[in-house]
Amino acid sequence: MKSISVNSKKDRQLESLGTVLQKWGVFIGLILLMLFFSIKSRHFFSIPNFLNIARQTSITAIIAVGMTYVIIINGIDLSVGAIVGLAGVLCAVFITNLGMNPLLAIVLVLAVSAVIGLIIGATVAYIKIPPFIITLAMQQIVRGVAFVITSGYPVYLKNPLMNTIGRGFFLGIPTPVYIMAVIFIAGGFMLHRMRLGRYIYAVGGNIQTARLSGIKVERVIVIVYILIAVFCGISGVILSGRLSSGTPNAGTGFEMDVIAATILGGTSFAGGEGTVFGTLIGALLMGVLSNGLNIMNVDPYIQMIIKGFVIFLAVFLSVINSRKSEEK
Amino acid sequence: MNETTYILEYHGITKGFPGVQALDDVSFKIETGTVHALVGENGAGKSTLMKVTGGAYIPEGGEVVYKGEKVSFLQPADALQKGIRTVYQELNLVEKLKVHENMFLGSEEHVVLRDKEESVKARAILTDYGLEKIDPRRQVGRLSIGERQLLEIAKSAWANPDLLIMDEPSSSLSSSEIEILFNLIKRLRKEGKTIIYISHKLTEVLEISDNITVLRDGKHVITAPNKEFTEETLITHMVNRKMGKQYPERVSNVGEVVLEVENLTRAGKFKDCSFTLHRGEILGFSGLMGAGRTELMRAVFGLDPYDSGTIRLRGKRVNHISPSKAKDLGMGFVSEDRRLDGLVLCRSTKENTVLPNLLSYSKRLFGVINRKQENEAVDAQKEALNIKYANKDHKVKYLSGGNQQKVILSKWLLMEPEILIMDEPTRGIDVGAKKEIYDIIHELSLEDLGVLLISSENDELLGLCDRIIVMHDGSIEKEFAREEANADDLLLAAFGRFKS
Repeated sequence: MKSISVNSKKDRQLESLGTVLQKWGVFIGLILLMLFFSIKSRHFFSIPNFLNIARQTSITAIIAVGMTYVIIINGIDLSVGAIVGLAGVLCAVFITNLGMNPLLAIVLVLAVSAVIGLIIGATVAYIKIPPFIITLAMQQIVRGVAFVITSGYPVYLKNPLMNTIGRGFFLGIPTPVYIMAVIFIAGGFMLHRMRLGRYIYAVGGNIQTARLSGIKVERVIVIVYILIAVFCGISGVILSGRLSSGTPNAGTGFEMDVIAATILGGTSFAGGEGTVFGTLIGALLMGVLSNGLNIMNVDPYIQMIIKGFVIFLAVFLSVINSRKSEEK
Repeated sequence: MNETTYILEYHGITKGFPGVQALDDVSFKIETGTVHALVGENGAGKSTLMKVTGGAYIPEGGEVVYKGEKVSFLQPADALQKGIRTVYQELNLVEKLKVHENMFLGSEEHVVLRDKEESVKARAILTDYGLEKIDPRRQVGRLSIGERQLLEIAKSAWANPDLLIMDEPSSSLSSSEIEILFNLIKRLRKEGKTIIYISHKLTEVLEISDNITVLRDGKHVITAPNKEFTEETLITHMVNRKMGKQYPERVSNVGEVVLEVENLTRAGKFKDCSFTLHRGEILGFSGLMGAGRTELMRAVFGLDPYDSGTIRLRGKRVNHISPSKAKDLGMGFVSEDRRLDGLVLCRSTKENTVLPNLLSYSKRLFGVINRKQENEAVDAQKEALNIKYANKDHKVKYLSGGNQQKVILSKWLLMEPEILIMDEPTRGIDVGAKKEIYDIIHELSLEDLGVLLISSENDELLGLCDRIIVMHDGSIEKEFAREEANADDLLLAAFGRFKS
């Protein structure tokens, strides 16, 4: 009996060191950052600016939910930005050039995204090509297709529904923020409360144990890559609505922001660990950082350096942290 | 008269792990310039003793005297520096590199590599050791397993150690390759080197060694010159006759046939294995390491493929078996290595417990997990198996080995299987937890569960099983009923020497 109580104390200490500091560390970082910008600039701390941050963040944050799943299963997806670009282009082409019903167009765009995800997932799961390689190749292919379809020029997109999705407001809050909220809540529920979520953690934590436990691990991997591709599709639709055009190079460099948000949010590159809530905080941190630096008129090139350092610092701390709990 | 000198002396070496006294007051000496064989059952302490010698483990008691002085190696590098080298069973070659690149890895003589020069030198060394058939410019990954094993040995020999430890060096060698190995060993001996030769192959041991030491259950049994032994006497020394009262009184509850395996074969792993399992029966699998028991069970559960043969469950033939299919058909698999494929260490005890059973605790369509049912199931298992942990939401990696093993057991019991495969279910756990697991296995069999139990501890099998199958070199060597089984015969059969 005595040994149990000793154990539980040790357990609790380890848990607090490992996960709590990792999760809340970013949260504290976010608050400190907001405090800093509030002091430095009187334009920062205002409702309109916060809504602005939320709207800007939503486009990458939606994808970050999918990236959380991907990184939990020890994968990576570098094709996200390219899929955003293609989705926007297809949306504009379907609606403007082909005169398609906008709702149908959106459904079709998401279906195309899902097929891209299926191809990636199946290649990773069954042919066992490293996801880094296949998604790098897919990034080129998909981006190339987007350019070929449009001959490199933006396609004009003016449609009431697309307008609402991209730049509309409801009760004073931008529409994309609602979409983001729905995806975070549903995505979090799936990961933490549904069978598939458990399987994702198990596959990422130890794929051999998962297979031995009778889980169809290949299927889990395929579903995860389909999900992230569909999230990219949604993000692409929103972005094209916001830009009122399908631009073939939209979404360039998104993989950077998305992966950064996920890692900042405490998802482990070793797999098996991570939360959707953490990713939300990570995405907001990246959003606040950009917004604040813009308000302070920091040179965009310097901004890149600062962002890079923030990611470096976060990963550095999390590695140190996990090593500490490993040694116990 | 020639004074006998000893390169290595063990004085009262003791080393324990949770649940086992791996080495218990081991003392003997190894003469300089001899081939000294070390034999014993699985878990007799051979590997532990060699790890102590090589500096990988630090003994808790006793001392190692090397070349007349007491040594305490803190790490493998210290032992290497003193001229002790070990060739391990698992190979340490870089498959993508060429033979000569591997041979000089870490001891390259030039900053800008001289490929030609290296390969000429490598060829000279290989030829010198009788390995001219290995082309130094070939990629190691393209060599046969036997060739790799020989290459590894040649690489170690070329480093010119005074003491060379070989752990099962002939395990994948053909007979002509064994001859090359023996010539190499004889030559090293002539050069005054000392060799410790660990092997399960007693014929080879008797052929090549000068002196033999037998270990049993962590204790030193005998060290004597080769000529004083025969295969039979060696086995007699190795047999472990300890029989504790830790096993439940076996009440047999054997019912109808539930699993039939016929002529199952996988090239290089196991061949023509046939057996049947009945409801409520505990069927034991004995054999030496590498006899193919784990591989056979993995194939039955669908984890590894097999080339030919049939598996029948409740009389119905099962094709294309996979773990998920096996699970659906009522089979569970408690694997050998908790960390490798038993648990998801970075997840909670709860998640691990329900992992194979989530379908029962979630809606079929969307898979929303019913947390109340799930928690109740986990708590019930905790109670039933007496698993000790503070919080089921904490990571399972913080649990003790015995409790982790019970979590693995509980995750399969939750799905109420009809057949449970258990591969070394009590390895590395303490005596108390072992006894509890024995009791659980016994009780489950009374509830009509059929158990396939692999164990390297023969007394465990003798204490628990209704029947014991002994595997030798990939085949089923002999089957014993509970009444006719004894420790001596099990070991004889495991060495392929049983004569009825």
